[in-house]
Amino acid sequence: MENPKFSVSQFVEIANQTLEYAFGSILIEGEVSSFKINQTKYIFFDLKDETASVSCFMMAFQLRVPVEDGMRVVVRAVPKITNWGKFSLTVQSITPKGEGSIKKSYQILKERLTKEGLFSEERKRKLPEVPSRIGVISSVQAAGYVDFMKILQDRWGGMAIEVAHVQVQGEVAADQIIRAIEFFNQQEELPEILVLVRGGGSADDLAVFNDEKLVRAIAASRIPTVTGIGHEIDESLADLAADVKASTPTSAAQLIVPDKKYIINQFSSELKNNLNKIKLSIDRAEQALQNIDSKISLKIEQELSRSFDKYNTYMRLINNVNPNNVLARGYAVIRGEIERGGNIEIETKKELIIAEVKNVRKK
Amino acid sequence: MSEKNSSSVKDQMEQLDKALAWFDSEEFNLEDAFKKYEEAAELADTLEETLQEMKNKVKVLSSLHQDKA
Repeated sequence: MENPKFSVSQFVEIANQTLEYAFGSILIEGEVSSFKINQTKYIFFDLKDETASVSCFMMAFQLRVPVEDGMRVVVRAVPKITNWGKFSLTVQSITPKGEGSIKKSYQILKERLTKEGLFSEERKRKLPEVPSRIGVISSVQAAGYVDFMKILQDRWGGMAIEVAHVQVQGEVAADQIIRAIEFFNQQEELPEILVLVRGGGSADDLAVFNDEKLVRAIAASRIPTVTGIGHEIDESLADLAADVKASTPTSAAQLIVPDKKYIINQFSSELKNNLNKIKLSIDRAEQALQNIDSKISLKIEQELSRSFDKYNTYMRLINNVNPNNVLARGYAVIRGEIERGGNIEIETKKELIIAEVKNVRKK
Repeated sequence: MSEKNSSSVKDQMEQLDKALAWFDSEEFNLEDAFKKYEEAAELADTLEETLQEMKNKVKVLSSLHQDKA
């Protein structure tokens, strides 16, 4: 049997079909080199390891995180032979791999977005004190979501909570979260708060929260956003773009609603204080009454004393002018006609003397 | 319904705050104190009842995403 004979174009086409059949879309990990962007639209770079290298191509809009030479990345790509016979990978997505690369990518994007003002404090909005409608974006199977909902339910009630179930790590996570943000922002009646939560994980697991499109979607949200991602030490770009950053899903729940037990205790305590205040006022009033009582008693005593003094003074005066007392002091009372030849009556303390007037002379 | 509960709680908390503020105001007098205290205590009981009875309505949106990861 003869070997089949192809034209160049046919060969390239069959080779690509074979590659598609054999690999489809494939994940490849390697180091970036010769990274460049042409006309702000086309990205070319090589992906290499210790012994091999392959050319890569992607469109600029597909680049979700900053990439530069030396970074370790994982690409999802379709292998292809171009019409010019060059083998390359058409990249669909690229993700930094490993803490070093993730950190580097994070720093580059953080610097860029900070310069744009996406993280500035002036953009941060206040949360309502007691929300009645909230939107939650999380994976309902994740421990972080469970913790968040438990604390929320314990602390407060009466809210309408809509939960958008999404992947919170992996390739599709960023787009799902963005879609959820857009969904809530397009509702006729907007929730008062949008909460994005997921529990702790590795740098790779949490890398989705440094996706540029996702970060921009959070910053652009009309609804105030709260993030509760990972552990206390983790800080993603999504956290920086949000209106309020909570250190964990649990503290996100604590931030967005008050604690009804605390409120009840506070009011109870205030009531108790006011009852004590009433008791204190009663004590003071009683004390004041006693004081008044004492003052009145004292006043009465003083008045009585003054009155007795006056009485005694008057009595002394009266006694002084009492005729019997005057007589007792040796004086006498004379009654009758005080003229020569007249008869007079002389009263002393002990005697009544009848006498005739011999002579009367002026002093 | 939830918003009604929420505004009802807000109203109750405001009323109770106002009632308690009277005790610290210049209007405080012993004659009215007991009546005011009873009113405040009643408001506090009602608020506690409302808070304990309020439940959240949780709805998980199932068909937000076409693709499956």
